[in-house]
Amino acid sequence: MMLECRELTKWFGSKAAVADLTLDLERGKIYGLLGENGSGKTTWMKMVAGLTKPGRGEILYEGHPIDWHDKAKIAYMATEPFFYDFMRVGDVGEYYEAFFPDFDREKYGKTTRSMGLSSEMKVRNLSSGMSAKLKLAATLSRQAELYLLDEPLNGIDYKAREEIISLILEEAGEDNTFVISTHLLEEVESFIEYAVFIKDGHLADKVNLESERMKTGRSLTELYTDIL
Amino acid sequence: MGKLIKYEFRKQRTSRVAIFIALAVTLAGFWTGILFDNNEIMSLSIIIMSMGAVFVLIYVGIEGILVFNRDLRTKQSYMLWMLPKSIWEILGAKFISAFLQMLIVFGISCAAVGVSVAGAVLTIGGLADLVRMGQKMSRTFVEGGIQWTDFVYIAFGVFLAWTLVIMTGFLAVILARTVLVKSKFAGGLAVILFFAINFAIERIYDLMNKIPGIASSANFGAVDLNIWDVVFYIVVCLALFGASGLLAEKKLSV
Repeated sequence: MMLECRELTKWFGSKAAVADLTLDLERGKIYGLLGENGSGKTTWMKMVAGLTKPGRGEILYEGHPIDWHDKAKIAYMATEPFFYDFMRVGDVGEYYEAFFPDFDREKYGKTTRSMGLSSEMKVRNLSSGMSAKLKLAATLSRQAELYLLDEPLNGIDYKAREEIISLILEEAGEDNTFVISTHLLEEVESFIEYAVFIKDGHLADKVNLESERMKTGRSLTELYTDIL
Repeated sequence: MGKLIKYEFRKQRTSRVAIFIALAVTLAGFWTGILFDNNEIMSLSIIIMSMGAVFVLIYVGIEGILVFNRDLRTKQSYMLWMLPKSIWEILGAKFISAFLQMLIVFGISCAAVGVSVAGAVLTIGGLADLVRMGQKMSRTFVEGGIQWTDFVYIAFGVFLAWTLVIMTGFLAVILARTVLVKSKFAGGLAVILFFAINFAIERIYDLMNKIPGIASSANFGAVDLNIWDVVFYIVVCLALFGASGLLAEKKLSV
């Protein structure tokens, strides 16, 4: 097992954002992390990415308690823009190259250019769509083992969504795992292998979509409605 | 760690540039006053420079703490905390970049003011006056019993005191951001904690000085600093750094 979360809990004040969540992720799979706003998806991702510390429970990465060394193998993309506002597009590539040994600068340059981002553009002047593309370009230019993408298709126009999905599928393989949090069920239904449903911080269900389709013929939207 | 320091130092560039621009403007005013024999402009420039120096001293002194607080408050914090770097490296880089900022800002400012004053004396009174000024300064030190080594002790004492402020600030910010995650009151709590931790350190320092033999220890030169003060500062700074690192490692969320 690549990632094991055991009774993971995180409180914000008296509210449990994630509550006793136990979840295992296998290598070489694409997971869709689904749930309503405020269900705990982002908090879970941030705990795995090492940005938020769990109140209780544990996270094991490749069998050992997760620590800062594992951040070199985990690529996290937050839903909000997070690059330093003094940076230009080229600086973001330089920053990632400086700190992540798995970063492919050439791929980053190619991806940003194909997305219409020039290296001289200032990060703080980018539109929300362009900013979303930049986050993806930087994250997907890493050869990480585990990708955590928090709402990667938010704020992206229809045509660019296709490009982004192609990028994800290009990168996905036997050696890595993708976890994609999204509300755009139709967009991801064709390529995610497992749907992880989160409700009120709890794991509501984890469904192998292909088996489910064979068994009941239910679409992802139907499953979402039934489970949540 | 060098790369971390580079980016931490970059975060303070705006304030650095603003300070140097303000310095250049006041020095330009000072020289305008000298060259056009206008005492009002010259005096005004010196007053602004002196008042500005106090503000810059305070601001640059605590800028490292302010940058750290901002790093934990905004989404840009992810840029730092998602890196495969230990908390010790991150805090260490922050401390070193804050020190470099102090060194560069005060080094360049002191050099610019020193050269300007020397230039002004040279312009108004000629080389003889400049030499006389140098001799007078040396005499003042010698007659006042001040050795050049005292400056080294003073610099060391100031460095220790500043380190204590920065380490206290780091711990206060981490504590506040751990207790009040995502709250807009966390900044205010950090200020209260900063003064509370300082108060506690002062009390411990007072207690230490009640131990026979410690208070009566000989000072370094003419400076009010003895070996026990140095040991106390170093131990407390290390303890604060350790507590900050452990707390951030175990509890801090961004």
